Amino acid sequence: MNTVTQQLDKIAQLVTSHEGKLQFSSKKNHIIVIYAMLLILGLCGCLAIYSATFSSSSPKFFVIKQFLWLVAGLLTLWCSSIIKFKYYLKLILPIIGIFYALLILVLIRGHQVNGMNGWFEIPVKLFSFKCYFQPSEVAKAFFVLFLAKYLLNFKNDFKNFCSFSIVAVLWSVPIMLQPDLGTLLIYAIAMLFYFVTQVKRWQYILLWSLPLIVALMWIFFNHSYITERLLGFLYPEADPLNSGWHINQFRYTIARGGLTGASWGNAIWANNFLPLAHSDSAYASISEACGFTGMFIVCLSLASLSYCGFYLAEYTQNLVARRFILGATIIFSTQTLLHMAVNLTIFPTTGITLPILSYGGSSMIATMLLFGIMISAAKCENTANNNNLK
Amino acid sequence: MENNLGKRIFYLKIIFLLLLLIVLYTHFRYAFLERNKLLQLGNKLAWREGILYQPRGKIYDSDMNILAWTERYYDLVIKQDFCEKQNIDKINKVLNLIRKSLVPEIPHKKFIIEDLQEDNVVVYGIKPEIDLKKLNEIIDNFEFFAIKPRIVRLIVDHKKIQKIIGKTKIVEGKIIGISGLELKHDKKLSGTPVHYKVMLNRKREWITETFSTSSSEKPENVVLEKNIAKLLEEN
Repeated sequence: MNTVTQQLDKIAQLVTSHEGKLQFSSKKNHIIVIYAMLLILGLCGCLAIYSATFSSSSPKFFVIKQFLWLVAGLLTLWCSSIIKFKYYLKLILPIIGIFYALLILVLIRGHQVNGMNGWFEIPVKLFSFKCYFQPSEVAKAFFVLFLAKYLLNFKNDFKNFCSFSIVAVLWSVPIMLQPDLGTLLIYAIAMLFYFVTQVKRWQYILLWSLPLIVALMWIFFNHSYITERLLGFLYPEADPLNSGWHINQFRYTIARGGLTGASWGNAIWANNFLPLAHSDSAYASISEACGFTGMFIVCLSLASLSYCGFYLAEYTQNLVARRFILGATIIFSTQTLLHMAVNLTIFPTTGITLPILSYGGSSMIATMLLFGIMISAAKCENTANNNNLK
Repeated sequence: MENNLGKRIFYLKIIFLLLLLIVLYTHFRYAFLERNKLLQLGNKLAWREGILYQPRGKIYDSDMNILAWTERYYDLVIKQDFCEKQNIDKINKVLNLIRKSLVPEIPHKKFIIEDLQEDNVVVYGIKPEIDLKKLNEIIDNFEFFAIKPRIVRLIVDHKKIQKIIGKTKIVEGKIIGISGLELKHDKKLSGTPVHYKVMLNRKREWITETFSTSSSEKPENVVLEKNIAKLLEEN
């Protein structure tokens, strides 16, 4: 009997180890898909930016700058993916402290763009181009890592909720004061999804309803342009040349693209009518060039990145790594869907970029960093139940 | 909790997939189902169509002395729609600005409401040396003003020749011959109007790459069989 039990144990070990190897090999495939998609989408982004800016005074400026950021981003992706996940966990507290200090500092010493104090001007010129750094973008990956390691570890769900809420509020306040409401919205939705997937009694979220209403009222009273944007979203035909302008232009631009697009380099409407066609309106401007067919392929490519992220979250054994991958995937998917929803006028206008495809160095680096750390987390262990990294 | 994670990830995937489907459906709706309606609305805002009358042909005598020709002038006008009491001060301020920055010849007249009773009050007949583009940039910010082109048919300064050549009148921007040689050769001198279509950007400027015209007959110059001396002898 003992011999039979021992033999059964050996067989079980073999199967688990074989399953583990199979899973690792499958995870490796998903990681390769991530690398490939990020490279392809990055290059497509450069083409899309040219298409959106060809009638500006210097379209090559935007493309060259974006290409340089893509190179820097791919380098960031590779470097961050080869650093072992345990080192991120060891250093996460000082890193998050530095980023929080930067979020406070940017309110005082930041560079203002479109009424938002969210960028630092870096005193370095990249091939004669000025560089700007947006801490709230780049901090996303580290914020999620911080949540994954330190929060939601209590057995008591209410304690989890309280610690989570304190961190959420502290983190959100400086971003709200910039005011970078688009990024804040991404953080908020991502945190909501993340919390709901991590705790048993996710209904504690309802305790946020009153403070949320107070926060929203504060935002509306202090930033009247938000009310204007909301009215423009709800009734675009009432004031088509002012508050309804952006909403109408999104629709006209997408309609012009039709099913097959107006062809690359022929996105006349996006160039002449659509505000910020290369960044906040990237989805609509690419739609004009590629049409529904082209955007369907882009959506599938972005969805494949999300799918790979969910797969890695499901099949990573390490607890903290799994939480991080899930949080990172949620934040990426939320931002992508929000940008698309804004461009398709399903959601009011906010300043959110389309990851990888929109113009912007901080956005590129932030996305690549997110995926780089995600890959590092996925590779950290391929055996079951190893929580030593905690 | 971690045992339920697989299930919750599954539900999360479903939620994101549903949101993606909503996104794709909305895109399809704008790109295909409602495309025509949206294009019409957009085109109404962005496209300008119109008629351009080609410059009327010249009349020469047999010795190729020019007898009649057309010149284009530009006038700075105050649009009739804005000739209201509440706009008077603004109108005078802008005129002052234009006078100081570009066209000092604009008369130092302070407009009052009684001056603005006609259609498109002409403030100033713009001289050819004035930088039209710069003037246009200034008045572009003020809806009260416009630069209106004005075409004038000129004939040599001789009463008998003028009688032979005949008279013209301007109807909706087109010069039409109503007597004399102008009437006799009206079709040849006028050609056919050109229909144009051009896209405007947000600042209402022409996007030159989109400018297109229909085909038309070009106006021709008329060369008379006789010279001035013989024309005067016969008349």
